[in-house]
Amino acid sequence: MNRIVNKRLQSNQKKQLHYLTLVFNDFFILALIFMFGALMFWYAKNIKSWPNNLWFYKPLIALILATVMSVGHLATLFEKADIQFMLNQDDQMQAYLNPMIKHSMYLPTLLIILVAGILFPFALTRAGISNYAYWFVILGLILTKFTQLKLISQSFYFNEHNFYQAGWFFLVVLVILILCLIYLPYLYFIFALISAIGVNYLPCGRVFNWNYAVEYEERRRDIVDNFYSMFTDVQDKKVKIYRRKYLDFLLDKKNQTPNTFLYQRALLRDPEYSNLLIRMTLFSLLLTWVLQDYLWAGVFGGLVIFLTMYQLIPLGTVYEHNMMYHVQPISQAKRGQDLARVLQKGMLLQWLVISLGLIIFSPMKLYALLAIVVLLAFTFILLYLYLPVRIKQLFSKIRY
Amino acid sequence: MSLKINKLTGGYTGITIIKDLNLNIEPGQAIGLIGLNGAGKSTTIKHILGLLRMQKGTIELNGTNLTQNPSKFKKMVAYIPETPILYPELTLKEHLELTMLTYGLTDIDKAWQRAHELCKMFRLDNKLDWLPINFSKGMQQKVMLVAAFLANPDLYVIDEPFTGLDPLAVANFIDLIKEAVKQNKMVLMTTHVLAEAQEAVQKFAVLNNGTIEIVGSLEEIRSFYHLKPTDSIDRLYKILNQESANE
Repeated sequence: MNRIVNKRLQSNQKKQLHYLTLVFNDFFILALIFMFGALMFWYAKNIKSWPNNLWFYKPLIALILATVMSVGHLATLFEKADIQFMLNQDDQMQAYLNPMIKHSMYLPTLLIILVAGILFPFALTRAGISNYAYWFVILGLILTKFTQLKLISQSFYFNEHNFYQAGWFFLVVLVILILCLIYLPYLYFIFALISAIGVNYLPCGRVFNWNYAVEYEERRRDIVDNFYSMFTDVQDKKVKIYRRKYLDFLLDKKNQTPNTFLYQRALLRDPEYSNLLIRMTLFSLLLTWVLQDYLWAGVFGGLVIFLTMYQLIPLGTVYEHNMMYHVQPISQAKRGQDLARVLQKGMLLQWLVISLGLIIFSPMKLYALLAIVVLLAFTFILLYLYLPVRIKQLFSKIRY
Repeated sequence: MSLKINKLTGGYTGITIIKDLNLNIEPGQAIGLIGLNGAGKSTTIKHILGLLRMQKGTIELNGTNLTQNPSKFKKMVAYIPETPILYPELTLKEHLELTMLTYGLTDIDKAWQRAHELCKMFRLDNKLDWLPINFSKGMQQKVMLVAAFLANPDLYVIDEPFTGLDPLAVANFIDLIKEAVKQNKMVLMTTHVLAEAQEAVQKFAVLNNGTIEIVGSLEEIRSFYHLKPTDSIDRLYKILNQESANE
């Protein structure tokens, strides 16, 4: 079992390192340093002016710390095939899971210490928590994280009582943390220590619930992959399709070709594409609201439309690996035109929403209208001159 | 009006699996393609569907050459794969709409009437608005069957149809094949389940080491391989295995 665990941990570390290198590239690190620096500058500048001992300080600290503590799942690294190949290894599962718990502690511990460090001046000078008490609470939180992961590992067995429920666990920790911070911070450490020891003595079933354990790991992996996929392509990422019936009114039902029929539905139901469209549109609205300036909002609106369109072009290859797409008599000749038609409709919808935001959030309505017209002209040039060229390039790379 | 495979040689890049394969299917004829795993059944099917590049030979359906006019050729073929292949973003109803669109079914009312009949037959009629990607494997296979029989093409290419289907669905499927044969359609079906396949097809083509050794009824195949009347037909696979090992 140790060999399997070590092999899986090593291969997982290799994978995480690969994606982390891609995510935290030079530019991103630079941007992070600037953003973090700006936030810390603002924090250091303003903390002096905040009044002492307001009633909500300790509950606020408790909420932030409890939230940070709950970040991070138990990485079991189970695979679907384990249901078959490790089915008779129920009695070995504790030995398998213990190193996984240890491995899963690293990231949350780091996060807890980082956030605790940032909060420390505030907790000490404004909330009036003593130095030692504060760090005992933090130590207690790390122990609580261990308790949480241990309870999760126990929930993988068929138990008479399942002691782990994510929502309840968070609420219980939060309430106890608030009470301890208000009345006696050291008490939290004692509570956490007793929990961390006591969790080992909880009654636990002996039959391993393989289906649940594998599902849990798949969900965890999805979350991690979703995070990476915001920055880079993730291989073998599973995409869950959502029906989204409420969006059916957006489907064009006239003059359909098999390609427009398929592309429209992929755009609306495949989160890879629909979430991108929604995320970018919301980002543009947020910028418009923050900037309160028609000119900059218009410029950023144009940039958002360009970036969204650029990232949606791979929609054209979404059925490339579907055998039926090649077996059925679906014309490949006008595929590019069909893709352009679907993307043009989607992007014009984005322009409409961004324009509405411009009108609502800009103080100078008349100038905002002008910006909208210019933005529409820019969108048309993008969609009817640039997009067809890019699509042609995309399909020219595909060999049949 | 027929499927004519003439001296087909092919396989994957650098690997020849099919060698000089000849096969004719006449209208109103259903042929079962049988053979051991790795004999070349799926490769033959992939060539007929235009998914692999032929090294040599021709495939013609009703006089249309696959290489020269693939679009016209594909409009006359429906394929039912062994493992269901669906469009994850489409509901069952949309899979049927897409089938009508791709196969150019112009009489939409008639097509929907047929679609409803087929869905009812396979107990899918109350799941039209569902995403079949979330169905069980058997249910997904039924979606493939419904779409194929809705398309009503000249040739049905069916790969291991009985996998995952319940006995009721198997019986309905066999009935649909018989109905198609009566309507002068052509059927090519790979299978290992000879007892059930025998109900649906009139002849079997035995594929071994990339070539067809014989096309005939089960009796003719028995006689070709010197099987005794008391021998189970499954003994054929032992003989094929022996032949394979000797080569």
